[in-house]
Amino acid sequence: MDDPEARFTALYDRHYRSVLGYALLRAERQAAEDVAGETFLIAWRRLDGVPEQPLPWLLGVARNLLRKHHERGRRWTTSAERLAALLPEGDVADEVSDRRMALEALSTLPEHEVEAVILASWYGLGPAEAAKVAGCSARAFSVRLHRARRRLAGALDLTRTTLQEQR
Amino acid sequence: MTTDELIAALRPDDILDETYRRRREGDLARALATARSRRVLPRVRPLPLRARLALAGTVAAGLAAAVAVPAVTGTAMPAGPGGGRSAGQAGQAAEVSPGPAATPAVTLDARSLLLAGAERAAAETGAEGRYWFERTRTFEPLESGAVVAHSDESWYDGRDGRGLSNQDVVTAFADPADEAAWKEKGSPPLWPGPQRRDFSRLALKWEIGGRALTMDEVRRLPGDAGELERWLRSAHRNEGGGSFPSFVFAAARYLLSSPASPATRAATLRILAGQPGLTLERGVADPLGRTGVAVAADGGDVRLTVDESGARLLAFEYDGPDEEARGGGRSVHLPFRKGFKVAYESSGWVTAPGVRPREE
Repeated sequence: MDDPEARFTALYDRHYRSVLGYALLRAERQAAEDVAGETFLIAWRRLDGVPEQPLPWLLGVARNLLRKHHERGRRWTTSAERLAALLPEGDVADEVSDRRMALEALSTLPEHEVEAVILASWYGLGPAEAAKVAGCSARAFSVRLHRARRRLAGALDLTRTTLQEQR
Repeated sequence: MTTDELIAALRPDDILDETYRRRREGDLARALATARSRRVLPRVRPLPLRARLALAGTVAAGLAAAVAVPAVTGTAMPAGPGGGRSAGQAGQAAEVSPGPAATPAVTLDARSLLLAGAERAAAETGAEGRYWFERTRTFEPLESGAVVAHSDESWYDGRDGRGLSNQDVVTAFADPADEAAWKEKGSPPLWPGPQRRDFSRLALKWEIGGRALTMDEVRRLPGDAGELERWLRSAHRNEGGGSFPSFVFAAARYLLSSPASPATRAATLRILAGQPGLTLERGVADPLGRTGVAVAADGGDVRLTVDESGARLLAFEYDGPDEEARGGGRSVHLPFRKGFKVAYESSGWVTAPGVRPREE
């Protein structure tokens, strides 16, 4: 595919949802859409420099844009709170739904651990790739992910038990 | 489920899909219109800014979540942007016990046609299968001057289902200059390709005015015209803006294509018949070329095409000004553009996802 327009369109079609999903963890919907659009605008301008594995690069660009966005003084909301607002209503109302349990467990994690489990589970990124997005070493990322999973498993057991007791 | 699977289930796929469809054309156009490092690309004519119009509540009804589904396309669903999930009553109409006349009685005005349709709709049989099926073909005008047609199917039982979206995508242009500009760019696809989405534990809502209804709530809507009208008036008040007759027209599209009971659909037709200033045009071809009768509110932006019996909705057409996108969070209002059309090809109750009602 030598045609840059076709290459860019394919990049957008393949990765737009992933970039937006990441942005939605850190910004309101409209701002997240703007960040995703801006990310691809940058990708177009620097198309020749986009690596062969473009997703970590794209997420890294989005992350930088989101940081600028936050510097403009938006109130900080946790990723878990944002996700809760995006889920179908019925799901959240359903007290024992898997999603609700997952959300409650996720809300007990610090933000950088939330990011780690999401980079691994939504995007299937390996430690080296995910570390580029998270801005740390691959080793540090592995440790972070390990801690996050352990904490999450503990929180899930607790949540499951509590919710069942409440029924 | 492993913890990773639980976290994966939190990804808001419906919203991602819907946003992708809605933003794709604009994002691509905006990017491609900018210079890429040093090289300036020849651009086709600049895209007009989307008109910012405060819409006087023309079309408030929209299927919020469903969008996702079949979409979406939507969530699960496939709905295209602007589509909403809706389908006609083909499946059910097919099950109507053949009335006394195979040929519909000749009616002279919109009111009598709709009242006759109401009689017929009321006589239809209720739910049999477990899944509500609908198949629509949607025609979406895009900013580039193209009109993209796509077919969408969905199956939903109030909780689980399937959406097959963006099937048989066809791109057409009214203006040859727009087409030439598109071809010059190498005829890039303007719409996403076919998608299949199986979903479970999903609460899709039918959104009518200020109310969002689950499938069960849709099926429990009043079957009495007076009661249904009171309900619609309260939904209209919640939504705000626009006249009640034009609200009823928009809402009718959803009620007539929803899994509502035959009585509710009949009541909808009776309420429509009671609106002032109805116009009727016979022998109209719907977007699929089927002949029907077009009914519109005087001066309204919405036209409904029904079959000669008046009972079955064939098509919805929006001819008002381009709407502005709004909404956020969980519900998304899909804006209509002038010339947006949906043809209701088939709908009805079936036993399982993938099963389609017997064709008429």
